[in-house]
Amino acid sequence: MNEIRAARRRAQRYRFSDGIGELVTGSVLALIGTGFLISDALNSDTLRIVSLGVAFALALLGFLTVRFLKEWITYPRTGYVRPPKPRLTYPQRLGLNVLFLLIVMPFIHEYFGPALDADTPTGRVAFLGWVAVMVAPIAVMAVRFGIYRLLFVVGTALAIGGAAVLLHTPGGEMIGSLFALTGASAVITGTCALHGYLRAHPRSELDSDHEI
Amino acid sequence: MKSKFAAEPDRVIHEPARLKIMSVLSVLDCADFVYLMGETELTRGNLSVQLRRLEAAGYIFVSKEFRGRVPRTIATITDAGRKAFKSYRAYLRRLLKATSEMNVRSNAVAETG
Repeated sequence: MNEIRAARRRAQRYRFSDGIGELVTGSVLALIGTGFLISDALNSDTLRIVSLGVAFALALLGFLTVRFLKEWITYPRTGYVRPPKPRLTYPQRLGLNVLFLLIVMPFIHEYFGPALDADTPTGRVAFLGWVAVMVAPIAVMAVRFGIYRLLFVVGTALAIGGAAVLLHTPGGEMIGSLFALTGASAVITGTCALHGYLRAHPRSELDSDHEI
Repeated sequence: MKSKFAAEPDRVIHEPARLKIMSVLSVLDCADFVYLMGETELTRGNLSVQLRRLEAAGYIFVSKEFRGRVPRTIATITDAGRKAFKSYRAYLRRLLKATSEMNVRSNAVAETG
């Protein structure tokens, strides 16, 4: 019976085994962060709106890129699996929706954006809370599925968030550097994971297309 | 009185290779041939044969699709398969329980004798 449970667990963590998700998400985050930093440096509102639009486009593109890369790299090597969708209870669903709103609110509402400004003590606390809310799901996933390298990404985000608050970094710069550096850390862990995966599963192991 | 060991297991699932496949598929939505090969450590030919047997019994559903020029065989457990696997697990549990009860009784007899 434990073997059956282990098979389910392996299937659940399988999607993280190649590091492609981290690599692409990290790249998207890093690009978004860089866009924020540039628009902040140039102090251009138009560029800020364009950055936000590009961010959404990149997020969608990132999703498609992950699918494409998995089709090309992962599935031919170690196969495709779809674990059962987790059955969430009503409070869990509600919690996830609240979490999502908390994360995106600073981007879509003009009141919550300035609320994260490090110039005020409330803004600093709000910013740190916002960072913690953003990385909490990643930390839970890392522990639950045993993908401990994701804790490096979580640690980086918290460290950058803390440093930005201590250094009184302005709002846009704070969010920009947080995204850029957290993204970069995800790219590092993703690249290491992908390297390990490709070493463990070389393409030449596969013989033919014949299956059944 | 009917023996506790009289019940017959489901012969389709009872075979070790098919039991492995059913165990893996029972906890998944679906999996492709390559993934099943890695999980069960069966050879390509053996897995192919066992999948056909399970499909013939109506326990799994096998679909085939092409990604570019590469075929992908996807196996999904059916409701009948899930039910049969559940019954098989119940059968094993009963069997193990009966065995441990017999062990307890024989130990008691040995102690009194």
